Formats: sequence, structure tokens, C-alpha cells
Amino acid sequence: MKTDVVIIGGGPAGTATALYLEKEGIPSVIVEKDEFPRYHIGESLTGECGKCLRTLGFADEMKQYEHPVKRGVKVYGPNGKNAFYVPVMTRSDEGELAVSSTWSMPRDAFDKMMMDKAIARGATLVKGRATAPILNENGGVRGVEVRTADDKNIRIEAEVVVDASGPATFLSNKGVAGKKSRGNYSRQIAVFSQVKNAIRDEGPTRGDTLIFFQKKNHWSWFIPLDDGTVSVGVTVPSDYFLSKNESKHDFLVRELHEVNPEIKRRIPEVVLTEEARAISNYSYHIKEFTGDGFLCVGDSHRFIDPIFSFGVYFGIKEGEFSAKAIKAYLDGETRGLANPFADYQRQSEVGQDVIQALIDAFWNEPLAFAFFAHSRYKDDFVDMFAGRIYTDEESPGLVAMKKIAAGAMAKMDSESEFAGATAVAAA
Amino acid sequence: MSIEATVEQFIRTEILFEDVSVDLASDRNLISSGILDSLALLRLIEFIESTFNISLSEEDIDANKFQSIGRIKELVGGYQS
Ligand SMILES: Cc1cc2nc3c(=O)[nH]c(=O)nc-3n(C[C@H](O)[C@H](O)[C@H](O)COP(=O)(O)OP(=O)(O)OC[C@H]3O[C@@H](n4cnc5c(N)ncnc54)[C@H](O)[C@@H]3O)c2cc1C
Repeated sequence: MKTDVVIIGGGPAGTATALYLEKEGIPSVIVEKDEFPRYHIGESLTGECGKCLRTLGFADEMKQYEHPVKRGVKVYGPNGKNAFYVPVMTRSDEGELAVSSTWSMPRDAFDKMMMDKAIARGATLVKGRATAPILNENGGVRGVEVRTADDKNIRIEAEVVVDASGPATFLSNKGVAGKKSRGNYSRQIAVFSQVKNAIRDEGPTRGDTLIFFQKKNHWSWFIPLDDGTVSVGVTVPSDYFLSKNESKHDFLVRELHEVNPEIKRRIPEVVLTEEARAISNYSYHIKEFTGDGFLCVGDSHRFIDPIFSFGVYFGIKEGEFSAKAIKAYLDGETRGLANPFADYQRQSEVGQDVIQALIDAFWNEPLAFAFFAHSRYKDDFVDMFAGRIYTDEESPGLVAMKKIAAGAMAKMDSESEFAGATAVAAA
Repeated sequence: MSIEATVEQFIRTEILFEDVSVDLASDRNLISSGILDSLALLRLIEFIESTFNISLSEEDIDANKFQSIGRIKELVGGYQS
């Protein structure tokens, strides 16, 4: 089989890439190992992600499915009081902030909707698992070998290979993309499921995402999935989870009543209506994720931390950027460059780095973070939370936030070096 | 009014809602005593910036610097000199 572009993985990053390519008139082949619909975590979307979905023509479908409308995120402090609220806001062409909304939804239906649309608009789905990249004599990537769902080995030759395999990080594992390094939140575990009897807000904030904070790296989420169902999860240090010596189910049920008084009030009796699942060590970073004939989008190259719901947005936005880069390549504009996708890589990292700093500042300098977000740089923070993070010109709020994040990380590094030196001295 | 008196008055009226029984001695730890929770601390910082017409640097937005009325006086004094 021969194609211009082959995409490994049919999650939001993969199908968004196919949809944006189709807008450029470029057909693609998607290889997906799982039968859709299938369960996936990652259900709350940022404001700009909602905008991407409208641009891709999904507004009517999102309404038909009656996915909860998210108008903001409420973050509750440890005592259960309403610590702060970040409304979803958009910017007009004149640069004015205006009230807006996005969605949260179950990923089985959402990912299938995106996949069906990609196929309807001309993408070809190959059901099967990518097993190895096809390399030319210079090490350039020119396609992928696939074990199909009906147990055949096929070769898909392509000018460009897009890795959208999510946490499987296919091209990094095959030694084509760079090595995976640990992210700042890699010693964490998330345990999650769904409940049906939760107390939601009444009125316009009924679909909002809620975050309940206990202490550093110990928090929980509450994400409406439909009229009755709410996704709930607890994120804690892995050591803490192990020390409890409980099943995932029992751990989650107990934690939901201990992590914060407000989530306990909202779920008076915890009855899980889905299997309790867990993901650990989810934070990683692959620094070189483009090269001759390939690029990675979404989780296949970086995942920071779930706290501010950026994963799906990164996947979709990078899908948009990658389609432009692929078009330029196929048109011959960047062909012959050692790395034709270097600009795409830089652009993607600009946005990821903003969110990295946002999360580092939030966890390590909570007071300064809250003061900036609430008061001094309110509008700049509204922009960052929405996902307007791909600007080369940094806002004053972003500059100040990067400064406190860098200060906090340097302090942590020197503390751990100190701890390391002390341990060596003691040995 | 002195810096100390201004801050004390704000805490007394806006945070303690006129509760006169609470001791606000200048070395009393406002944070460990629970007088200032994180939200109250934010309101206090906003009040200090607008009342004394100063803009605190990033490093100074640190709970330790607002630990007591005495510390706050030192902090604000540093910006006014
Ligand atoms: C605890 C937790 C909570 C989260 N909450 C949120 C949230 O609220 N909002 C949000 O936006 N994000 C959230 N995320 C992140 C979100 O889940 C991901 O960022 C998002 O799913 C990434 O999309 P993707 O398309 O890159 O990868 P995925 O959605 O993982 O899709 C990858 C696809 O590739 C397929 N695949 C993998 N290997 C192969 C192969 N070899 N051959 C063929 N197919 C293959 C897989 O089957 C899968 O369908 C959360 C993450 C975690 C860990």
C-alpha cells in the first residue's frame, strides 16, 4: 500500500491531523490497533480546544450528543472553600475578552465521532498495530509495517509518517525519535472511575469541571460526562498509593471522601459505575520528535500533568500545525532540509513549555500563582488557561509566571542535589 | 495612620469582621494562628498594593513575608524608602 501520509494511532491527535490534512487536500491512512468505540481517559477540554472543534465542523454533533457545556473550572482549596474560578473566555478579533464555553464528554463517543468524520472526509482506516518503521538507506522514515486485525503483515509506504500513538510513544521506542526522559510529575499515579449520584451545580455552571486540591501533588477531579454520569479521579504520589495497600476500587472510594470536604459533599455515597482504573508514571518528555520523514503529535512526544486538562487540546492543535508542515513538505518547500519539520517542533514546544511553567508555578508557588491569576495578571492567565499559548510575544503574566516557575524548579534541583550529597556523605 | 495600624484595621474589619477579641500584636503569627487563610492573604496583598501604592516583586509574594504585622511593616517600609 502507498500513500502520502500514514498516521499511527486514531486518538484525537491522529484524527485531527487527518482532518486538517484533508482541509489542505491531502489524503491519509490511519492505523489504529483498537476497535472503536473504546474507553480512554481525558474528558475535559480547554476553551481553545472547543474553538478547534467548531473550526473542524463538530459544533452540531457536540450539541446533538448533549455533551456537558463547560463554562469554567472551579478549583477548591484544601478546606473545601471556593478558592478560584477560571471562566472559559475567548478573544475577539479586536482583542477583547468575551464569555465563551467548551465541552467535556466521554472519550469513547468523542474519539469515534472524530474517527468517523475523518473517514467520511476521505481518510482510510487500517485496523491493526504498527510494528516497525520502514527506513531508507539514510535512516529516513518512509512508511510503517503493520500487523492487521485479521493477522496479516502489510507494508504501508508513505512520504511522511505521523506518530500519534499516545503514551505508547511508538517512534521513540523504535529509536527513531529521541529518548524519553521523565517529566516533573512522573512519580504520580491517577486512579479513576465514574459515579452517577453526584450533586452537580444547578444552572449554567452545571457542566463545569471541578478540581479539589488537598496538598502538593494530591488532588482530585470531577468532570461531568452526560446528564447523570461524572468522571471522578484522584491523583497522588505513587508511594502514597502503595503505602495504603488497597485495591484501586477501595482506594478511590475512600479517597473521594478524604481528599477534600467539598467532593465528599458532592458525592455523599460513592458507588462506582465503571471499573476503577489507574495510570502511573504518566509524565514524560521526548525532546527530538521530528526528522527526515516523520513527526510526532500529542502524547506520542510529551505529557506533562493532567491538572489543567490540556492533553486533547495539544493533540488537536499539533494536528493543525503538523498538517501545515506536511503540506509545505509535500509541496517541495522544505524538502531537502535535514529536518523539514524543525519549525513544527519548535512551535509545538512553545505551547507545551507555557503549560509546563503554569503547572510548575501552580504546584510550587501557590500564593504567587493565585495572586497573579486572581489579580495582577488576570487576563493573561485567562488566556493561558484557554490555550492561547502559541504566541512568540510573551505577555507580562507569562513572563512573571515563568520567572517564579524557574525559581521554584531551581530551588528543588538544589534541594535534591543537597539531599543527594548528604546521602553520599552518609554512606 | 502608620503602616501597622492601617494593616491591623484592614484585618480587623475586612477579615475578622470586627471581632475585637482576636489578638493582633505585631509579632503574632497570622498564618499559623489561622487568622489568614489563602484567600484572606490574597485580599491582604491586593489591599497593601493599592493602599500603599506599591507593586510587590515576584519574590515578595511569599507567605513568610506576611507572617505578622511586624513583617508586613518591614516589607512595605522597604518599598517606601
Ligand atoms: C489521569 C489523566 C487524566 C487526563 N485528563 C485529561 C482531561 O481532562 N482533558 C484532556 O484534554 N486530557 C486529559 N488527559 C490527557 C489525554 O488523555 C491525552 O493527552 C490525549 O488522549 C492524547 O491524545 P493522543 O491522540 O495523543 O493519544 P491517545 O488518545 O492515547 O491515542 C493514541 C491512539 O494510538 C493507538 N495506538 C497506540 N500504539 C499503536 C500502534 N502501535 N499501532 C496502532 N495504533 C496504536 C491507541 O490505541 C490509541 O487509540 C489526561 C491524562 C491522564 C493520564
